[in-house]
Amino acid sequence: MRADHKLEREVAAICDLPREELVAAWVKAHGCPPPKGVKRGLLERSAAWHLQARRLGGLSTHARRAIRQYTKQREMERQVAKGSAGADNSGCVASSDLVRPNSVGTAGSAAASAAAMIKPPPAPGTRLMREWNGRMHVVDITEDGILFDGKLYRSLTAVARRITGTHWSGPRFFGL
Amino acid sequence: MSGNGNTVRRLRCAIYTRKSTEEGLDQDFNSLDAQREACAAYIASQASLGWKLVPDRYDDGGISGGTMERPALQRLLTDVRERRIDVVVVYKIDRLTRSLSDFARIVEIFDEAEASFVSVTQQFNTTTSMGRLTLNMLLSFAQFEREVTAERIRDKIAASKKKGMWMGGTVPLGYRAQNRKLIVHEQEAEIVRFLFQRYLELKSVRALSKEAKAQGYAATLKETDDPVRLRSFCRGNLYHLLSNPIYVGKIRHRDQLHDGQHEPIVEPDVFAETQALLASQAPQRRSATNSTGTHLLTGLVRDENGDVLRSAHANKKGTRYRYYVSKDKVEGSDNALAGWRLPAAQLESVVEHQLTRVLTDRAQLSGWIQESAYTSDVATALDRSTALLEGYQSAVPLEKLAMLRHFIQAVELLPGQLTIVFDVEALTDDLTGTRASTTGAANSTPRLVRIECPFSLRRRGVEQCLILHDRQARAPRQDDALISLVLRAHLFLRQLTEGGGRSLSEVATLNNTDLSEVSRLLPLAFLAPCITETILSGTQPEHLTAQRLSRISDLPLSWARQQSLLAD
Repeated sequence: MRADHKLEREVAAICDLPREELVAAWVKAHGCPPPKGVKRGLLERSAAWHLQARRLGGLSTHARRAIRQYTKQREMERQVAKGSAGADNSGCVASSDLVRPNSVGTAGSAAASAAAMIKPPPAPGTRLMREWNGRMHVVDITEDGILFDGKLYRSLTAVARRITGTHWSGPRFFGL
Repeated sequence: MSGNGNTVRRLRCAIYTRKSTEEGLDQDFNSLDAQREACAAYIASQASLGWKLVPDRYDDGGISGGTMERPALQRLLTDVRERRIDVVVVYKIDRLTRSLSDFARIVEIFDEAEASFVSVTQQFNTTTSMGRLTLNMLLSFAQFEREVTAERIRDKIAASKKKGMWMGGTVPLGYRAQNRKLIVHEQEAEIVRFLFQRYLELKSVRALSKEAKAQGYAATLKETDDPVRLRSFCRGNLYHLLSNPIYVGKIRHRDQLHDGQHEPIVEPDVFAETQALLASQAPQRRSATNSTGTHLLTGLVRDENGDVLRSAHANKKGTRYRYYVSKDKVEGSDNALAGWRLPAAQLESVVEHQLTRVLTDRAQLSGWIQESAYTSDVATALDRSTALLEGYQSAVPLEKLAMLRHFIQAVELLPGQLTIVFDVEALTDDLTGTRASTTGAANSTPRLVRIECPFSLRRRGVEQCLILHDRQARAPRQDDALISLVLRAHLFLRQLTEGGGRSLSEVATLNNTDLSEVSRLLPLAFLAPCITETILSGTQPEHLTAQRLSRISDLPLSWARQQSLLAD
């Protein structure tokens, strides 16, 4: 990431803002007031993150999907745990301890399965070849973007659309 | 030869000469010169047809016609391929090669370059089918002669050994070679007797080695000026010495023992006792190889001095940790700081990853396949590369070892750089189905491609690891603990904001954890997106661990600063 002096200064300036402004920034970013008793550091962090995300772009679709998937999984585990705990309430209360969603094993494997969805994009220097309608199409991944037919594209999907004239998932089209 | 009107096309002629033994090569006018003179005279006689001798000399003195690995021949073939030569003139066909299959290859190269060849004393024309038949017959005989010679020599050695003659090789300690016979050297024989005697007393070769080195015997050996002798007291040499039947007057031929013509040095019962002791101390092995944790790169990894790194391992609590270690680190304790000790699994994964890259880089592969002159079918070859890769990935370690040895010539280590030398010839031959072993390509100079991966060594927690600066050279390694840390941070943040203003302690109870854990993890939800993504996809910097991340007390707010903090 190139050092952007203006942005760096703005980020540094966040530390000097009064708490009210940090709270306002939190409300604006998250749509709800910050939790009571939250430390100032976290408010600063959130404000700085969202400031930079506006300039540089936030998390990729993949990453957001992985986070959503993980949250959903944990939510479901919690429901299951609650359900069984409720059912057991009539008989033996202690057994609810058997289902602990936060046991390390489940946390680790859930994280792994969520992250398994993310494949790193092809590294620069990769060359993809795909035959389509009897023609071989060659695509080079470069630092600046995806080079196809002498033009740069932002995503493989854009290249796939250029080749086929219709919407294809780029990674799927190129068999990644 | 296409004459255009009256003008005659000029034909550039090269003379190739060869002689298999070095006998007489030091004479002023040797056999090579004689061959050359005859050829030059022939070329001069064809001057009216436009024949002209090129100034380059292609002479192979002292090299057998059974191999293609002859410097002058290879130079000649290169020049032919580059169309710098039209006619190759030899004295007799067998100067060119004695192997039918090699000859087929040579002729193919000539045909491609539209070059022809002429043998001065054997007249025929390779452009007609009859000429080719004659040629193939001649070559069949040449090959036959070579094979018969080899058989004859093998039989001779077997017969001589049966009679108990010593057939050369390293002269064993205790003997001197005189007129190709072993004569007892009393001073050294004394050492040998001492070694046998002392081994039976010490019952340990390691101790024996130590003691023998400490004794004055080393000085006795030094007088001989023979570097091989000086190593006699190393452990491996002692094992060999103690089990060498030559000391009881026997000659070994393969698995047979014959009575030798030389004098024994050691008493038969002492020798028998030694063998029994050696056998009783040898570890019991269930199989010829240890199939678990095979070092895949044994003998391939070389350090900056060209020394081969040794395969070593340590055991702790039943786990085997494999390494590639410099010779110095194994043997000497005095200079143990120098040299390499590389974790085997990591080095192997780097090499395997490069192999995968080579086999999946279809652009590069098709280029290589087209370069090799014997194929046109790139598509099937590329399909084979996929099959080959799958075959490799499902292979057992011993098969992997064989494949790696086939495709990789060496793995060279320099400080900060790792170079993998691929044998492209072997690879393309495999892919196109031309069997290198039958066409004799194994003998020709292999085409090598060097793939360099800059790297450094660093400790990651307790394990030392290779860091490749080229990110794509390393396979992604997803760290579950790290991923879990980041995802939980995001989970907490979501629960704080989505449920309509939960408090921190509510989030803590929701996740069966405590407040301090929530406060500790929450900042990680505000990691720079690029760092978060590398963690999720497993391409994070090698030394970034869950422990390190959760311990950074004051992560900077700026993404650029976060990155530079975590990247190095």
